[in-house]
Amino acid sequence: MSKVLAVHGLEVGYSDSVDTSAYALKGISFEVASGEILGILGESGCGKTTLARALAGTLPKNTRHATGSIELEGISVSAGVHKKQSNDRASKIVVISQEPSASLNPVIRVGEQIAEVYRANNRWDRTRVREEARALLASLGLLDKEIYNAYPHQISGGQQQRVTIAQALAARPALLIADEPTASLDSETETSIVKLLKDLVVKRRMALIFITHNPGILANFAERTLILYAGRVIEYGSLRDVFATPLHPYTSALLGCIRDPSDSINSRNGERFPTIPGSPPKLEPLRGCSFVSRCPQRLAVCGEQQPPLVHSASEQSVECFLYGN
Amino acid sequence: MGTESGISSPEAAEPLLSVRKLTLTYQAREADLRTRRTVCAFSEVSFALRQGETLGLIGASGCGKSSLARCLVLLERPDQGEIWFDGQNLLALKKVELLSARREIQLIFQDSLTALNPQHRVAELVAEPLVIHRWGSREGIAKRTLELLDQVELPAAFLTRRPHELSGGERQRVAIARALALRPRLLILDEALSALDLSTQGQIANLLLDLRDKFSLSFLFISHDMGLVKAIADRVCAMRSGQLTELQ
Repeated sequence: MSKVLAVHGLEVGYSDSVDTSAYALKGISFEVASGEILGILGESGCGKTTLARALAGTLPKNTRHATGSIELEGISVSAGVHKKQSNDRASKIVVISQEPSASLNPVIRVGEQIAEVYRANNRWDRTRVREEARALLASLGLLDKEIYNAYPHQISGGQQQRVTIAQALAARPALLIADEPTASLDSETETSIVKLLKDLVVKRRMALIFITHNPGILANFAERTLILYAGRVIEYGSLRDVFATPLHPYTSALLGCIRDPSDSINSRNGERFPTIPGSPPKLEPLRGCSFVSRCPQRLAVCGEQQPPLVHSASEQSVECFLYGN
Repeated sequence: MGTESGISSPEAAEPLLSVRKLTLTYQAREADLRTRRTVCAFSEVSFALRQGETLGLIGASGCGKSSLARCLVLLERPDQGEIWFDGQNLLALKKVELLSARREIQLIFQDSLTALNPQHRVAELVAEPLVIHRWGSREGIAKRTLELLDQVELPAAFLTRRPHELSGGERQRVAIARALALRPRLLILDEALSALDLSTQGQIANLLLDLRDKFSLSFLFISHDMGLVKAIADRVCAMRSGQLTELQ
């Protein structure tokens, strides 16, 4: 498997925080190979979307700094803010976002929005563009001929998300970043979109970064996972290892919140749901571990120093004092 | 009365809410913007909800769940059917009677960012229903506002914050405080937990269960998430293309 993306020491800060040393992301390092699915797991405000935008080179204007190295297929690309994205990077990394209706142009027919991508990347005649766009839609399960000529509002949310996936695939990207692609969809549609993405990764030998707040989705889907908390990678490893033996107290607490499918008010005898007490820290530089105030296993040192990155025997790594200094 | 409703309930306990053969249709325009057609949101929906009970309602997007929720608080007028709440037919009430009946049923929405006025501070947001329903003196309202904030486990320092300064979970707590202001007996939770992270979802669900026990509230819990509904509700109904069935 060839390496598609290698990120090392990525840090991003926004200019709206008063403190100049505040960061949205810090010390982010990971790799993704072709044909691989990396699941990025984190709760709201942890920096998931900032990471997606930094990788795609679409950070917003209020970015104060973006440093670190991002290598795309062995070529170094800038982490910073771009006035205009280079065509090359735009077709290699494509992001699909949470709200499909916001990513599609409401006044252009669906088929045309896919044809646009083909025209930008190829020198095909009209018939070829139309045929390819139709075939792509059909391959994503949008077999109905009328969908090509429909406007986005005339199709369902699940269909809209399939169209944005088609748009992304038309560029033949090496890396697809899906940022909470199923958050606005119901559970049946969610399952079908996840299955579709998994099939596409196998068929097209793409790399996929799937960003979500819901650990349940990643099971049986992603090969490796990266847990983000307050802008830092607190745990990283193969999904099987991390889910079976979570090392960081946050990871165990988060996985503990997954509901058993058979869970009901009666089986719980009226007991309350498992939660993580407190809330994540705001974007302020902290002394020590960012999880310290909520951690059930905190040590004296946790509030004083930044915890070290510890590698376990398997390729699992964790940022925590519990596993040595 | 109970036997008439779609779901039979024990004769002794008269249901708090009893919905009978409720039908709602919308007038939709075709793509040419001229031709109109009638779209049925739901038809002949009947169910009953007992005091202190949590009734779950699941269904895929677009099945009519939210239309039903809006009907129950009379944001929409149904075409046919009856809504009985505590022995009163809500659809037959006069405007003045309706105002007091409306205190009893409150609706909480999914997206707290759009449900709360972005220009208001938490103090005004929570006090608004109290002011509209003339709860009492200014001091009385201020005291009640603080009490409500305490009930949803938010510190008094939040009184001066605006919605965008709060996290999703904190905003949903404000929405709950607002809904509880007039001491309702029934809360309709329309996807109220769906936009939250898993751990926050648990926190808010626990808060709702605590409040239910404390104030003997009843819930109509609407969601597309079967696992969540099953985990929180005493009984579960499913809505499919405008028809309601009870799941065992």
